[in-house]
Amino acid sequence: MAELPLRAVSPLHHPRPLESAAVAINEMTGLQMASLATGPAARPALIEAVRRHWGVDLPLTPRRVTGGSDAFLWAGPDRWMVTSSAPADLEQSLRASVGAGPAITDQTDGRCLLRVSGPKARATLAKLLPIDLHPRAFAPNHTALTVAIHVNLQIWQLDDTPAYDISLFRGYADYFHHALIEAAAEFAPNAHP
Amino acid sequence: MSGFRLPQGGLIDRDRSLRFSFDGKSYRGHPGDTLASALLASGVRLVGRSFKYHRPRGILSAGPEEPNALVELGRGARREPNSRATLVELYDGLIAVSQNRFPSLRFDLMSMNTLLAPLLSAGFYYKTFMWPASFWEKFYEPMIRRAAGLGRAATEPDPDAYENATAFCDVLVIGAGPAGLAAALAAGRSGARVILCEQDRVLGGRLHDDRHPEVGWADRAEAELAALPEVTIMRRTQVFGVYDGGTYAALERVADHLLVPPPGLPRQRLWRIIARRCILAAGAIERPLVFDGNDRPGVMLAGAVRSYINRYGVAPGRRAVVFANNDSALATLADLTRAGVRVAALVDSRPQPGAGAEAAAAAAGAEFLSGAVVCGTSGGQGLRAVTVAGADGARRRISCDLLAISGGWNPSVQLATHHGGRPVWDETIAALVPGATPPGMSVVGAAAGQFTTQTAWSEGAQAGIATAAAGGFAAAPLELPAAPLESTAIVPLWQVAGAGGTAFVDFQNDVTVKDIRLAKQEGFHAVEHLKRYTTLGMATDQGKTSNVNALAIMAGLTGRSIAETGTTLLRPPVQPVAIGALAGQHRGREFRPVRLPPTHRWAEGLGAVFIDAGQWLRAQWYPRPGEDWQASVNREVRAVREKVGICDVTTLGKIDLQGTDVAEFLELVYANGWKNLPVGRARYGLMLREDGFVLDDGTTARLGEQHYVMTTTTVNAGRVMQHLEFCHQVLWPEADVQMISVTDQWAQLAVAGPNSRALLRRIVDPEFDLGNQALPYMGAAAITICGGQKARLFRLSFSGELAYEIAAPARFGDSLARVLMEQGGDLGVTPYGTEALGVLRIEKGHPAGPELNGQTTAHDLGMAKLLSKRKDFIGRAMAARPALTDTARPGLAGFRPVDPAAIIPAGAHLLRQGVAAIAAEDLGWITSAVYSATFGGWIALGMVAGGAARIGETLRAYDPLRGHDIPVTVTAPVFYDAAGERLHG
Repeated sequence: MAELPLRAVSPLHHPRPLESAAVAINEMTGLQMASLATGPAARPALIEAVRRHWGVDLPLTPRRVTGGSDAFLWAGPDRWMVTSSAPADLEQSLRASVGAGPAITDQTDGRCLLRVSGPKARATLAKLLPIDLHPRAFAPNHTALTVAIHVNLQIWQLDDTPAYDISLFRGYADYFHHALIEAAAEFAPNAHP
Repeated sequence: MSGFRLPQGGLIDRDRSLRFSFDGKSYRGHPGDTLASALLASGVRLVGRSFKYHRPRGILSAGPEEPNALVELGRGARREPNSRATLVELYDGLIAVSQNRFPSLRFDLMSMNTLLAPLLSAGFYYKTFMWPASFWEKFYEPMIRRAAGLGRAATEPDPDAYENATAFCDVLVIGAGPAGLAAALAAGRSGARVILCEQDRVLGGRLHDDRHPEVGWADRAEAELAALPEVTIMRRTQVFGVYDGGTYAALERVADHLLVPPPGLPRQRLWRIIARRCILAAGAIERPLVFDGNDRPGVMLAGAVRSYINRYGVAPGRRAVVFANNDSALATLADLTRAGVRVAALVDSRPQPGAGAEAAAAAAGAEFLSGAVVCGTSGGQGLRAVTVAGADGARRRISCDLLAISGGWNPSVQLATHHGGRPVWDETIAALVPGATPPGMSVVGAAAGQFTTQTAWSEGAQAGIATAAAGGFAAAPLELPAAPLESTAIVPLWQVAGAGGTAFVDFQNDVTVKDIRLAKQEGFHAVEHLKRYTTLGMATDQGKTSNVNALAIMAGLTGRSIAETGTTLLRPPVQPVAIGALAGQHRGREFRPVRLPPTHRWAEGLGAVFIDAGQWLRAQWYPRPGEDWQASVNREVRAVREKVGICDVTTLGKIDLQGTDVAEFLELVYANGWKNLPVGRARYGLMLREDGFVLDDGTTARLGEQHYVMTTTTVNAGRVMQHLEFCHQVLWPEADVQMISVTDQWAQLAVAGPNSRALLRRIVDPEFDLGNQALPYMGAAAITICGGQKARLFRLSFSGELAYEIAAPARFGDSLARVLMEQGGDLGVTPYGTEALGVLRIEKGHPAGPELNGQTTAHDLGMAKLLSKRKDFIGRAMAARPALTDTARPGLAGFRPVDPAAIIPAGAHLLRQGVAAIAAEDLGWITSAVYSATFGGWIALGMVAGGAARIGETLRAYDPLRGHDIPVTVTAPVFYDAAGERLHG
């Protein structure tokens, strides 16, 4: 049988980035994501395993910690979203590190990751998100699970640019991305669509 | 003519000229003008006709309280009715037309209503148009709507964009007059996050309108605020509602002052402001005085007269009379004189007004009449003279074209009352002041009844400091200029003695003193009743100039105090808000979320027709050139039955379940048994609600010892997830079960038909055996495809054919569909949509949405044998209730028309033959009906009393809505391959 390579396709109708001095919007590809969850009884063992392998403590509040090429995002009680820029299969490498107990579920394709950055990133996101992103309320490595224009999403801040990553269900990505571009249009009037 | 523009002064840019038109006539104004000020500068005094009597009306005010000067702005799709000319910022090319007149403003046929005024008093509609009742819809209502009414809304779609946005702050300051500016500055300097909202373009409030000697302070304060990093100044932004949890709604008129919004900008933006604390500094609104003829164009609030002179550089007349009951109006005389307007007289209703009044009159060279009132006006479409009744009762005419009136000031308490706190009567200022305020709100300045600039400053600054401190920010005292002493002494005058049928209390709704008397006479004493009976305080101005006068007059009529009479409560919005602003981005494409399955672009490329399935957009059918929908569906069905079809089924809910207790958990949430499901197998599951009815169905596959993946129907995916989370978090929190949606993670394609295995063989990597032994019906396997790509393969069949569902990571879904199409050309591979899917499942007798409608039980659906007797599960006890297991309940059956050519309409009622078509004879209904290419005729599923027991009977399918009435034969629900041989192929 001949090899039939499958081609990855973006969920966005206009996947090319919006670049302007005020605000940039990019789809982040090449990052793996997986959810990591456990029951309360097994939580200490999981925390210990993560500490052993990554040298970080799993956050128990809405925060993000990074360990090497991986990051752990609090995603609810006893649940974390793990992102990884390493090439190895994340689901497998997590399983090898934390053992058979915790639930590990690949979400690389389940979510679309959008990066919004630039001096007007906050003003753009204020048109969609109902939460306060002011530096006094939301800082790098803070995360929140919230809803924007009826779409559930998780947001976290990367740095003081400011840059934010937004993770949402892939099926909603095109709808949300379009709204995001529209919201940014005030600051980047020549942007598509 | 532009003879009313003063040679200097005002916050207008005299170097630039703007063209605009009003009622088709062209005029000019300047940047900084409102439509009202530009019209006054052009000598236009008649701007509208009143609501009911079509009386000529002029500009009464200079602010948002304007009841008369309502115009239609723009044209075509941008036509905006009921725009207050006093708020409309002038722009080049502005087009405005007057409202509520026919055929023209100057000659209005409807003004004969004035002659009919004795008949058109309050309650007139209720009394007159009651009889005969049949006349209401056809005659009375259309007639009233034409005669009485405001502007016309645009009939075309709004071409502009709107936005919603959210902002957060420690301190929200509403109003940027002296009090608000001081509050914002004091709080802002502390480092607190401050939002200052001002409905006007200009900050400073009455400092500009009253040409205050310290007006420069406003500019300095504004400059400093603009430089503070945590302070946001929001101009043209009206806070219109106070909600729970420190939530405020505000409307920002982003581009209303422009002909067309610039690219990327909305016309208006609705803000949700979440504020820890709020300082209300909304100012006050002047009250008119109530006397006959007080609505004639040329009668204007004294404060507005000062605004037009000082802020806009416009003289609102040439010869003026000032009529007041308080000291605030006295400054008007000096301003008029300075503007070159001759002041003929100061008519002060107070018998002993004090030295200030007399001095003001003397300085203006005006006759001073104390203890006197204006009791009438004359002039056709503009004021020519007033009739004054002196202290001795003697009447005389004084000619003038401008009458400046002031009955005192009403604090703008509206926002303070939105949580139900009633305003309280303050006798010293003869006005209502805020009572209990919403949590976190303090009120300062004129809004709190503190009318002098000095108190506005000091109170504002104090509130700013206190509010910042309450939020943990240390604020320093504010150094403020000294303001000259101002007197606000007042002796109330609620109506001039003898005022009657042309003494207007509510200008916008044409409510007079006589109407209030009538309301009292008919027993409508309570202010709420007064409002309903007379319509006082309704429409765009919500009684801003009329409420207090009305309740004071009612108090006088009923012999009660004003405090006892009380006031109506005010609710949001304080100002009219366009529906477009509330909708924000949510229109057109953004109306609601759309979820796209991974193969959407591929299906688009094939010319698929799409249908909404919940939030998903799914391919309904894939017509080829020349095919109608039926031909396309027939071809797709045949392809699955005879060759192989592919269909994106990603939209079915997929829930990943892991943990040591998953099997036990499935036992509890599904009605059938799960403990013996081996790894690598899937099983159909039926889920009940607690009340025993069917919630949803689907298959769940066991992928590992502790790993399952559940599927749900597309529409119920969210509901089932919620149900499972509830069961886990509330009912069995100790269970080791972790669940997460993987609906979007896996692109899942059904590959169905006799050639499905052959097709899959070409993409599944060779080490995976697809034979019946290795992967039998209901088998599940983790595999790789296309050279190592991880995937999952389930041998499931909704169609009854040999069929599979193949799942690949979603980013490859589009590519997977294309590869299958390329590889399967010789196998007859055909994409099929939801319509063919429906035909296939109906042929196979599988219940779906129309059968799982929340009213059916396992017994009804012929699945009673799935209800396990060896375990407990959700819904078990309630499903056993006698009424739910009654065999007379409508049960699932199949139907075919007796005449093979006949159509069975879905939704038709089922009746025995020969009985009356009445509800008492109703046996059930057709749930799903399709044309089956496989059988060459219509087939249907339905719920019929007795269910399978009726097989073989002939019934009537009766659909009076669409005019169908045909005999049908009851059959078993499974039409196709009842033995199930094909799916084991």
